[in-house]
Amino acid sequence: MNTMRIRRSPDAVLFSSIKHTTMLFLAIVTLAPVLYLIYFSLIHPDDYFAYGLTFPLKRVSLENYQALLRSGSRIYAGYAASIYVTVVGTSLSTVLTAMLAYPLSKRYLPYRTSITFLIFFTMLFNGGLIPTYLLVRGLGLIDTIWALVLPNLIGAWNLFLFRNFYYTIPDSLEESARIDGAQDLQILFKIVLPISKAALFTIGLFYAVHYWNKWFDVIIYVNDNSRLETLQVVLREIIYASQNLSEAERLGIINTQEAQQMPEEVVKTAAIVISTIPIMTVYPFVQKHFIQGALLGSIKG
Amino acid sequence: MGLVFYVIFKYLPMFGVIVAFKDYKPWVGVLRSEWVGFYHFRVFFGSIYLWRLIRNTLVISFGKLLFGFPVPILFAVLLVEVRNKLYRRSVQTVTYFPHFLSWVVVGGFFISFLSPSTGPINAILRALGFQPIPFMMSPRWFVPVVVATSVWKEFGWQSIVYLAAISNIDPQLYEAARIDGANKFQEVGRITIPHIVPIAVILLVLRIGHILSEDFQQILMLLQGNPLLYEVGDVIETYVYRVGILGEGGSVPRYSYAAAVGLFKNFTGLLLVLAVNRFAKVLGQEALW
Repeated sequence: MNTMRIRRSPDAVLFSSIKHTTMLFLAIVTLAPVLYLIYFSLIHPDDYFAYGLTFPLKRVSLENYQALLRSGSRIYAGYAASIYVTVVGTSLSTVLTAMLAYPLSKRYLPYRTSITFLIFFTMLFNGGLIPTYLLVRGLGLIDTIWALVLPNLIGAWNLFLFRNFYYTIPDSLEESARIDGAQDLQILFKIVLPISKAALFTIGLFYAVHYWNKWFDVIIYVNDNSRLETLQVVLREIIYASQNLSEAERLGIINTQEAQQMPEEVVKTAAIVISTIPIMTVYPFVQKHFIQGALLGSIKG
Repeated sequence: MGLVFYVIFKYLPMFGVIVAFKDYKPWVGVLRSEWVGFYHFRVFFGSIYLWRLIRNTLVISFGKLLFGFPVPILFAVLLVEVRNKLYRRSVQTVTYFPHFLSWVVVGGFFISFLSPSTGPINAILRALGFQPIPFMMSPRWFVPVVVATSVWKEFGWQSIVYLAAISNIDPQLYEAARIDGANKFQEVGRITIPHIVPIAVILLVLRIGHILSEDFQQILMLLQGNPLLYEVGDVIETYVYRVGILGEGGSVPRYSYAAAVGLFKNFTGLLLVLAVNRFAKVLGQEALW
């Protein structure tokens, strides 16, 4: 064996600098739009009219936020709708996914392979936008929350994640419960579910994000029910409408008085920030769970 | 006894399956009323839009593949080398975050960020003496914007898989290599990368199989309803949406026609995934099933 000389070789230094530069670059690139937006949303409208976007800001102002958050603003309705949809959707989805995954994890279930395959197949192919739409409409679900919740109630991906989780639960647990005379449903609810808290939480989070971000479904399925117009939808209108301020006025997003003072761009950025705040605040805390879930799924789901 | 338990086990899945079935719908639109056979398909194939839609879809998908595929890998490979835990965690937090935002929000970000009048990118351009570029409104820039924003949003999240794979590599391999005098680049190239290759190939294969399906919400959002952008940005799904639900080009939505178009895409996509999967098996790599 050669005598080992530990030295900080030039290539290590080179590598290290590449590594750090790239990391920083990527991190900054990721953050840039976000930071810019926050920065921009803090400019006072008068300053914007007078000076444009300056660096540094002449003064930091929450004026834009105040305008958007005035009472009666659609932002509140949007939040309410989103919360409603998210809570209902997430709870139903999570519970049902857990329930469906459980039997599928039992080897003795008849037709197990076929059922699993059928579900898997939906990941590869589905009827398409139009047939789905027609189905929802035909079932009379337009303008109801079910149009938003039912079509993707149990996501195949999440289902498999859950099933894999169940695989990790030792059979002995279930067997001993059976010996004690427990029925299947009892086993499920009294024993399996409490153990699955972590999985429930993680999958629940995935679903929550999915429902929170819903906007397209709302656009096609909800025509006349303002209770269901989620935050994302409201936001989208703001973004498009701010290209044209009078449009924003008309939509009741900001009242006339403000309209005269509000530069579109700034309002828009503030709205975006407002919509993103919930996720931004919650995210760092739950990140760990997301990653666990993703890892579970990606090691050959 | 056994019967009771079978019955119960049939309840649970049945309940769930009915709803899971919502994921695939019978192609009601094509089958209803009169059976027109392949009429709609023929119309579509003859339409002037066919080429444009397919081309746009492929161009965008391909662009995302070309740029979006290597970035997560590169990121993961470098990230594991970061010694400082806090630093690494923060970078992870920052880069994973965009994945959880909706395209409404991300679209909004970039519409603002790239704005010719107020966006910083253009401010820099102007300071350097160039003309501001209307990124979000110009057909020339639409595809790059779509690709770039997609990468921005997903690269962090996609790197998770690679991170997992890398962390499974036996550290002793590295030590052995170092003892043999390998430098950093060799370490990475000869150890890390080969371990990632199997997973990367599977993922690549999967992505190629999905080349016909674009991220519909992203495109819809970034199109901003601007007809000028349709020439490059209209993909099959957005077309289906406009014709089938908004009813463009007719007085009522052309359900059957749009359904046919959508079905064509989904079906072709299915064939593609199957083919690509078989191909992966031939290569000796593990495939989907």
